[in-house]
Amino acid sequence: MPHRCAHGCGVVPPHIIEALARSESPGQRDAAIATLSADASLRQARLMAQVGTAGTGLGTPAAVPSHKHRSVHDARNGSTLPGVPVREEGQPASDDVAVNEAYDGLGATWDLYAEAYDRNSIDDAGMDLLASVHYLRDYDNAQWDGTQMVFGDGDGTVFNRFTIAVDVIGHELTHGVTAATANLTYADQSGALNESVSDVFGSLVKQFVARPQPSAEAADWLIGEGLFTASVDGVALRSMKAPGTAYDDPQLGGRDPQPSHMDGYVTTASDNGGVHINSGIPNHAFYLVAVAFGGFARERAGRIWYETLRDPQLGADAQFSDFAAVTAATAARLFGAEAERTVTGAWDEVGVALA
Amino acid sequence: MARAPDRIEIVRHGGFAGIERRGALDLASCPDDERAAAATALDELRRAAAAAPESPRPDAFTYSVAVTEGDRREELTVPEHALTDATRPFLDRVLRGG
Repeated sequence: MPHRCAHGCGVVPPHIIEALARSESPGQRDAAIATLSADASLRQARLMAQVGTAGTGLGTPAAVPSHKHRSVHDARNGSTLPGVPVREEGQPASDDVAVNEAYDGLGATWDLYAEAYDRNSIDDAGMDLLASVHYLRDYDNAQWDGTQMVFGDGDGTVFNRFTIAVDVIGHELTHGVTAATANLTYADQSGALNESVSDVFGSLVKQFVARPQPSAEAADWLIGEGLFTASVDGVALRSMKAPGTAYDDPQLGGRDPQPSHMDGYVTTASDNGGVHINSGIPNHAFYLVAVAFGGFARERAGRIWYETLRDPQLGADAQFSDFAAVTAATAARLFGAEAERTVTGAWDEVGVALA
Repeated sequence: MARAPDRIEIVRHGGFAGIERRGALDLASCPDDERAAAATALDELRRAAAAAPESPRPDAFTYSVAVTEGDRREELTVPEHALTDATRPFLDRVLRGG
């Protein structure tokens, strides 16, 4: 039973509060609708801008010079961002491992996008990469807040510091890339696609910096390897190769809940419609495409996904089948009919029919 | 003294890990000062929920807070970026177990 006010009042064990999980606030749907319309107008503006550029007859617009500038700050366990500057581009390594991991992870992500996809930073216009480490105390999270990266130290019991895994850094910065391109609405299927795209490029960053670089077949396809402390029964947070197998531990509420097929699609009000759960389906499709092509996953599979993300045909509210259709068309355009069949086959294997 | 809730239940969802955390605080049997502190924190959470931006931020935590007072039940949804240095420790404490 709960209570006992001896010290700090009583706390009820989780299983007693099931009701709350089923009762997502009624405001959520209204908010989603408002978001959709806001995104639709942004997208329209972006399309107009692209059309405008194409219509000037002046050829491609002058490219912004390639610009790589990292700036790592220390939030000193507080909530004020960005905090104290501790390492700027080109400065020597710090004594603080989190600072160096953040600096290196930002660099690895910038390099992958530049070298593999000719992208000039998150916004493709050379924006500075800003990150803060030691945000709050025991903070079990990392995020891109729209302008910068934020990393927590983890609680030390279940989670280590969030800079420890370079794919987490690639994942978060990719949320910035997605916001600047397809701007996939962060709920339900479009939200799971937003999450999946971040896992895809996060994993590609990890594969890009590994030495030797693994082929698609040899890569581990784990997301967040190293984040769990030794007390956790799990290898990572997610597995693109085998969704649903990354962990199984009561401290985490049980087993990794990711499906690898539409048959296992989870309908829930939690986590914006299970965006971190259902991302397993498009994650696994990417893995299948990458392995079918062979070689380095960033080359063909990664290129197809990157061009899909930039394709004006991809709406902000894209469903899995819409995204799949654009990847297939992109594969055909870039690599021919056989590549298109490979992509279509992978989506079919995870139970997604092309729109 | 101000009215105070009998019970507060919290679910934190989202985050990079996408793993849910739950906790609850039963205030009915707590001393007045504990109840007053919880009431103050809830007032701030109500303001935060009302002022919260509509579009979710990727990998941010979202807190679902259910408040019971007698036969009334109130539900709030608060994204982590709407929290303050006053409300954050309150939520963390409930989630951590008191």
